[in-house]
Amino acid sequence: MPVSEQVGFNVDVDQEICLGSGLCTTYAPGTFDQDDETAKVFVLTVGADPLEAVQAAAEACPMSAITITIK
Amino acid sequence: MSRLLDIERVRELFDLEGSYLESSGGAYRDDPNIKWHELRDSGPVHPGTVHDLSELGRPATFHGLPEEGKPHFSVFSYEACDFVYRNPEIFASAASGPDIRGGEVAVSNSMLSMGGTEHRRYRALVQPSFMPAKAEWWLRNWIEQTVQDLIDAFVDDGKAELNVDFCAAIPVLTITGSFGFTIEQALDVRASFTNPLAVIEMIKPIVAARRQDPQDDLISVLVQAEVTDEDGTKHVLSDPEIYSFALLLLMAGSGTTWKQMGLILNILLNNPDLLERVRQDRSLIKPLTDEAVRWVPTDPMFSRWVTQDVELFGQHVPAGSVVHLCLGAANRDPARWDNPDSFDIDRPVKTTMAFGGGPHICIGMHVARAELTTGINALLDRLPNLRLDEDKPAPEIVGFYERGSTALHVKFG
Repeated sequence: MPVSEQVGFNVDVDQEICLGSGLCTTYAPGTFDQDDETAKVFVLTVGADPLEAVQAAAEACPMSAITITIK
Repeated sequence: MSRLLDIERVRELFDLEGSYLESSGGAYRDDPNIKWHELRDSGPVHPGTVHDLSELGRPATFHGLPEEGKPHFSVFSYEACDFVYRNPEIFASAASGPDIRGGEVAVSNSMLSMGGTEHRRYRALVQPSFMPAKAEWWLRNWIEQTVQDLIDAFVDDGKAELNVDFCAAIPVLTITGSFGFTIEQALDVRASFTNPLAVIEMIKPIVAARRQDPQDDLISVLVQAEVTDEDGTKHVLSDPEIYSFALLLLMAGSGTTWKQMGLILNILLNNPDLLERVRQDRSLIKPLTDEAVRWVPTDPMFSRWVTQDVELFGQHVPAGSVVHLCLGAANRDPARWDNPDSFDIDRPVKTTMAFGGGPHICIGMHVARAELTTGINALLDRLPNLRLDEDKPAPEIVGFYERGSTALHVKFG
């Protein structure tokens, strides 16, 4: 799981649960990306978007598959 | 210049107030939010259907209705609707599961009525085709050209009725195009969702052709898809499975986005300052559409079927009940939004219930957004001084379970 000491939070996506709806990528496009074939989401760059955007993404996720850990 | 589609037929099919959509309360002209606020204020969950609780005054059908003989409950708060969507084992998306192998071809035999891991296996087949990154694919193949062709047909007239001349046609041409249908067949398809066998007859030759020679379209994705069963074995989709999928995507794809586009244009045309602001800064189209689907979602209610007794925010709901989620009310919940009745495109970004929630969340939402954005941009690009036709009645919002705008008579140039 990508970690950024400067950013102050970690982001994790449970790929088992992930539906692939892609909603998270519309809230935090620098943080989340999707596999072209399976639509599964993976974390691209923690800190690419502000925490508020990542929190909006986690809240919007229809499967509650995103976990944010504040360090 | 000739129109792309048969205009009279489009009018009949897409006239919200006409007989075609009377069953879902098409003639309703009030603002349901007044009643919905009162209901939510006195409790998040109430026994009864949304239309009875809202005093519509007549029967109405939609998803989860009439379902006679079952207890009905309606949900009006964001938090309670969210809880229902996030507990699909308790609140199922259909009264009973599909009967794909032995059953008839129907939208009800598609992934819409599946649950659990079976639903996930089927949805996974088409989810990649609908993710945001694929919006580019849709735009390139179907939306952009459709939008420009439609405007070409009236751009020299100085006036138009945008529901019929523009909004209604875009989604139906986009989704039917992605299935390999001709323009002529597009309206036959839309009219036929009450007669699935007719649609199947139209799909059959295309499915056969794509099996031989796959193209870069949605039917080819379906005919090439391999679904993995519970026991791990893979199988290609059978013809009934493909037809049920196709019916679901065709019906959903051509039924809703056109009304939402009309609602957005209604808002812009009735608020010329806002229209000018968006014309000057197209990056505002995203917050505009987000706020529009919050403020007036075209389908403000969807239902769930209760599989076990549950306490739902203080209301006992027995197994066998039908629960109606009033998404329109959830989207105006003051616990989530300040001044929720105000139309304000500058709100902080926050998700809404406009596209539902949970594992059955609208698979087409990103394509819908792409259609809305492309359509609005094109109108603003090509129709200077776009304004309401002052000689015609101003457009209103109508409908109960299916909301949309009345005629959008405009002038331009």
